[in-house]
Amino acid sequence: MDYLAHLLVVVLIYASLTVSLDLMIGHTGILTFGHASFYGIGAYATAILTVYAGLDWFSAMVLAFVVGALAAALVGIPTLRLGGDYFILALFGFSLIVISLIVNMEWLTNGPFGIRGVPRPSLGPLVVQSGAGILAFTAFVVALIYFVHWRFVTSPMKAALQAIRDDESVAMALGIDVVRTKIIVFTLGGGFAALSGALAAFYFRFVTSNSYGLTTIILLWAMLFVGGNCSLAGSLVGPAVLIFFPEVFRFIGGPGWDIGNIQEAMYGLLLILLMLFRPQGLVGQRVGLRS
Amino acid sequence: MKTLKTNGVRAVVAAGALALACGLALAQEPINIGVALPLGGQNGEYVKRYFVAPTELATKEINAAGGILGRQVKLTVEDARLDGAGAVSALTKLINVDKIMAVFTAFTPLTLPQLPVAEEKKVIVLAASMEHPDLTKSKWAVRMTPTADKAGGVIAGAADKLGFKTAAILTEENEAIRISVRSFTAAFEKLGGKIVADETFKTQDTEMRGQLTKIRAARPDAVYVIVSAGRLMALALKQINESGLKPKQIFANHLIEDREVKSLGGGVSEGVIYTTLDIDPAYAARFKAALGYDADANSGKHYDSTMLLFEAIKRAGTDDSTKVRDEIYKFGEYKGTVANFKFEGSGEPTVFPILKIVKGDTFVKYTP
Amino acid sequence: MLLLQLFIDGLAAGALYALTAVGFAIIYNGSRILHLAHGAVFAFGGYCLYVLVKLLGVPAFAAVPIALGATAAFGVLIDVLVYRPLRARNSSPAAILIASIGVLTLCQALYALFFSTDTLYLRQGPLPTFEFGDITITIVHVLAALVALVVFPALQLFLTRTRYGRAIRALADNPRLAVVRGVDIEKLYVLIFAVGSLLAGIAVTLVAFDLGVRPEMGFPVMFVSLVAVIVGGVGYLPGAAAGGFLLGLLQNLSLWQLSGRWQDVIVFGALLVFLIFRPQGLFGHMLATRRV
Repeated sequence: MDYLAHLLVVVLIYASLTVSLDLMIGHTGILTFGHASFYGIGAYATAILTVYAGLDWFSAMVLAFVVGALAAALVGIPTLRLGGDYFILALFGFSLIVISLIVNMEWLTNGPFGIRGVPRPSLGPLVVQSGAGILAFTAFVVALIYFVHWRFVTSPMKAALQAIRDDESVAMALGIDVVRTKIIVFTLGGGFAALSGALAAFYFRFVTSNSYGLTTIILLWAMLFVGGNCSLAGSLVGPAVLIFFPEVFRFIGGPGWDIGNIQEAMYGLLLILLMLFRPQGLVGQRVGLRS
Repeated sequence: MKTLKTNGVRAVVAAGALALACGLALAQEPINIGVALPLGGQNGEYVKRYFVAPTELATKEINAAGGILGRQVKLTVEDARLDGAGAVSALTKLINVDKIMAVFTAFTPLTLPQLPVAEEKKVIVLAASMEHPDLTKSKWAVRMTPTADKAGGVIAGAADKLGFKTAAILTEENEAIRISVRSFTAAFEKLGGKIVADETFKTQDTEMRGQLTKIRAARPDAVYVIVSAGRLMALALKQINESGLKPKQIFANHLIEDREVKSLGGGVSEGVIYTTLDIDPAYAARFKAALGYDADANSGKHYDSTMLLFEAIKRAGTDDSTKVRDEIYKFGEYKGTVANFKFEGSGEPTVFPILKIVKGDTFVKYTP
Repeated sequence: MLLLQLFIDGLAAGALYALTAVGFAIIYNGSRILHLAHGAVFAFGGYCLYVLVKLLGVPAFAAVPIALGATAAFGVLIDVLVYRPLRARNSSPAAILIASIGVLTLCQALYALFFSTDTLYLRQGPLPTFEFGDITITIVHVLAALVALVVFPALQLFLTRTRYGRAIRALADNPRLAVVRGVDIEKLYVLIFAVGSLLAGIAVTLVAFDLGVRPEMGFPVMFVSLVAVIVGGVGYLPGAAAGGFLLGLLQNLSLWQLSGRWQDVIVFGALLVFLIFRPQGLFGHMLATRRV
């Protein structure tokens, strides 16, 4: 059923975003508010390259990853050497600047109007169709993203990342170049977020600035912590719960119910209760959230 | 012999009964339409009252009168949330689960992403109040309002007739509004006028004093304000007043009638000339009686697009969306509650805004 | 004249940012909590005023003190219900930050559900204005100036001359030492949140009568307050105030040459510039080494 396929694609895209966010927050302890911005940068890069520059989808996707990684490096290098709270605020500010830039740089991004007409991926004359087709494509790419992350967190790197997350001074004493490692992780995270953006661009065939702002980053954090941080399974569970649950509201809920705000209230309450009673989320690990 | 004849009669009766049952079953099958609009967020209240309620009203009225082609109309309303993804989600659910043949929607960033989906599934998209020209590039879209550029031209003409030589523009950053600004600028300059300031503010802004200070320094005869939300119109009028800017005339778009402007009060909207569509008093009365608040031009557009769809279904004799879409496109003149719309081969109607002026608590037709 | 008007507008905006920034900074310095829910406390104050003035008909001069008290209490309530249990569980700063976001989201949604998303006005029509040639100022400009002139010196006195004020500063400087010296930390937290939220209440009073109240009203002010705290120098309260004024001026004066659309970029660009080149802010050198 197309409706189910639609929901699955959305869940998969968010899952890919959550897994790369988890790499940064859950495994390395980099509390970044900027993830939605790299997602947006990737989506816009894909749209601009395919619609304006006429590039093929594959090159656009690869370039989107590169652009996202570069942007992350540019932001990360000066800010990651700052202490925790400064970094959080800097990324918060960064996420707002990106939205402003997207909206104001009309010559590049068509401003608040967005870019339409992003093509679907294709292999020669065979174009990926809506429904099962795009679902299969998205699932394939997301599976690849998961594979890369899985390899990363089962590699020897994992120990270094967790050392940084748990206690940076100890990590440094152990000889780990903390700042350099963080920059590498952050750059990769940005690249993968941009890749998720490419997937979103292909699916919706339309990019617009209001999907990459504060509400999205809060949603991503909620997905990460509901599912459970430091967990590959968690990064799939969180989005699934937070996407399917509101859709259920479409079928219950009476007329005149302000569904949108009821949902937001529940998110807020959920975050508070989670932090109080189950900070590890549904399937995550109790790390990084207790001193 | 007798058995055969009896069996034959029985067969005919059975067949007849089966046919009747099928016919009745088909006749009971409702005509499915949907609404995909943002029911929450900043504009949620306005959308529910002036975009959704009119379509619901029209549906109720047509069902009370016996439905269309003997069938009742089933309307499902879905929350499009606040972005393109939410709108596509709402539309997809409406198509797959509710099997709609037409959807009522609005707002450029929400409607445009729905178009490819609607086209693939052959669903008619009626974005009654959406002003962006690209809407009707799609062969499945229908509009029920003048396009953004028309208002600008009408205001420019009025400004010129009233003898204003200089004008300042204060607008929200928004695609459709930008088009109005361009058409106003072009028309006004062609008539010999000069634009002395062109300032914009964002949808989320809570003040525009800086922009007004700059406009004030340019000393314009007239100020043209275009926004997409009542809150911003109220804010603009209030701060124009507070900034010491005293133009000879303020022009605006139809958001001047929004209840947030009324709720602000203080006479800030007195004498403002603006573009809108004229509301049929009989419709206004019906609307008020049914819903308890006054109709506005947007409500009329959505009501008209709903009724237009019903008429087209009647004319097509079926709810097959391709045939209905064709009927809409070749409809000719449709006498709506807010204007006469002429459809001549596409979903883009020929219709022009009129001018009104604010006089105390009323809105009066105006000719310069 | 244009420039002078922009300057005056900038000062008025700056006063508002400064009030919220200092409120946020008091809480942050004293508790190390990034209390993003401060924006929800701000909005709460606005809705209190609305309920008192418009729904209950209380005259403004009585409604304001009541609303201020309620806002301070609300801030304390958030600490007691959410942050204190988290502290008791030894939760990390990340967890507290997420809970704060949760509070902000929850509150905003509740305001929208109870009061609708419309802007609710407390008074009709535009504000009274005073004209001096080409310069126009509104009553809010005047009040903002008065408030700033009264509140900041009063706050400074409180922090330097009173026992409680000094205790707050002790806590901000060295939490562990404060505990060792027998300071009742939880009582101090209550005080910190009360004072910080009170300042937010004062700030929202200026805004509510001017622009009305709506659920998201806390957001724009919060952002700039965060930036103000960094620009002024984390840990130094007068720095937060200075940062607030600076940003208000920057936002308005930038309009002299640039279009309004670049305001956000300018503000946050300033943030990034400071963070990268001068993370201790303008007045960071006024402090002993701070734990970052």
